[in-house]
Amino acid sequence: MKNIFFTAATTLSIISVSYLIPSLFSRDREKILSDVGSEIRLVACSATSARTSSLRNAELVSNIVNGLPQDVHILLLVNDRSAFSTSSNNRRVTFVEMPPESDISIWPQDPFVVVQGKSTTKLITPCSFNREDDERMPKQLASILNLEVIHSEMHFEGGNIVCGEDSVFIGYDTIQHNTVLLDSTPSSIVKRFSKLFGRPVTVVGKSSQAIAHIDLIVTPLSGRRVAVADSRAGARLAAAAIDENPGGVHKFEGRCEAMFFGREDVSELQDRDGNTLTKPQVTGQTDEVISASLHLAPKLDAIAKELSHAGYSVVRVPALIPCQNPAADDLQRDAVGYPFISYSNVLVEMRQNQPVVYLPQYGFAKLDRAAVQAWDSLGFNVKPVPGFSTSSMYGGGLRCCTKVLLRN
Amino acid sequence: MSPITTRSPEFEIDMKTKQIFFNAATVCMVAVAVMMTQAMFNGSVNAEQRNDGAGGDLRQRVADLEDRQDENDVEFVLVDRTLADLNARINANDADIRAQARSGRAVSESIGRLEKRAKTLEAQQRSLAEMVKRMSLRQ
Repeated sequence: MKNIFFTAATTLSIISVSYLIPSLFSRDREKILSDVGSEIRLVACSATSARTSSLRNAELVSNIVNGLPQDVHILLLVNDRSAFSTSSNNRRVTFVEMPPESDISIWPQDPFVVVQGKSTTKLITPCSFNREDDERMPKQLASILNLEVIHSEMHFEGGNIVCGEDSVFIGYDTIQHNTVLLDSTPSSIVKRFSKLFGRPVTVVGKSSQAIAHIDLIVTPLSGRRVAVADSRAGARLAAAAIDENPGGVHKFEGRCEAMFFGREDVSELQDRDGNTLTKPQVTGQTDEVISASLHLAPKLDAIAKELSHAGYSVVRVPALIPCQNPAADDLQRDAVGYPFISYSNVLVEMRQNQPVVYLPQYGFAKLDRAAVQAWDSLGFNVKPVPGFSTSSMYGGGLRCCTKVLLRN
Repeated sequence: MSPITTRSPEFEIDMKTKQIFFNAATVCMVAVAVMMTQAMFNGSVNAEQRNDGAGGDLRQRVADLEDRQDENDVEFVLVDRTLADLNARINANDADIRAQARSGRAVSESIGRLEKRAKTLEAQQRSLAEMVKRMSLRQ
């Protein structure tokens, strides 16, 4: 009798332990893919053609592909495949065709985030995403890569989320937006994001954001370090450039304007509704942008201070930031004008034990050089990627134009 | 030897048999439990790989995508042919402008002709008026 009892007890305890082990030790905890980490392996980009979009980025895509290392594979989302040809059949780039008639932007960063476990990769989409047909991007990528797409109840844009080694940074507006839409409290929204992304959340900012997406101003680095944009330093550099070489600044302004539609000889276009699109005025605007940058500087200083209080070691990189129109819908990026010269909107990786930064260049020589120096002094191997003046007129840099899907 | 402590050899054999049986049953149940545990773990891993696409598999898929293509260019150049097609649009605009200029020239030529004719008519009118004046003086 005793033997039967012991045998039954032993069996029951083994079964219950085997049942509980998976819940006690999470099998494969999924986390949002960090912006800091090992070598980048797979990146998504998107290209729009001249006959479907006023923002033509074929040349920029070429620069991005060539700027990234040879072992990085690029999935290039296109909605007008026949418009594009390549130099030859390139092994590094796979075209991903969007469904016919879909309209996409050049910003694959925003409509989803990537979460990874030890053996799983999933794409998480926000509750709603209303910029052109960009919400179709994750579906297309998932279908070619055979990944699962998880439709979240939360509202977010990838550009307002950056991820460090131990924490995910989310802009204040995203927390506030969800608090209102989901009729909840900020702390419970933070908890929900923390659960969704598998990492603790650090909220960036304590009031409505001056810059729509934090990835334009905040870059997580390894070892609890964070780089925050310094628009005061950017303004000083721009002012010095005007003093030293006014012709150079004038040339930069003129080039931004001239190449706005991708060709110097195209001065205006008509959209599908017959409205005339004209080039924005950039010439002579640098002085005004210097003032706007100085005006914004205290807000960026406050973010730097806040992150410092949260235990991060904060470093600063220069930025020249035009006046931000708070009324403009951040998803539409329709406040087109002077370039948003951000050196925080970067891609970072560890390659052969050496930190590497892929740094956008805008053609403003003094600022570009200062940014290279700033990142170099932080111990990074700097890889400049040229040609971002036009995309930055719509408010996006290198991170906005890409989505890292896999790191080694 | 008291009757209580006395054990017949048959009884001892029977007890040993039972003991062996229970031990064997215990071992069997433990083995079954272990197999069930393994089955549960394996089941969940397989389900995830099937549903989500494993990270390892994703790397493999990237490698597969690369294998599908032939070359490995050092320089990648993406050309937007429709940007070049704007030439056609610009040329069409230029043609429109030229056509408009041509029709403008034609209009101005006909205006010139009309002005000339109007001047002639005015001259004729003036001469007729003078003639009428002279005739009225004679009367």
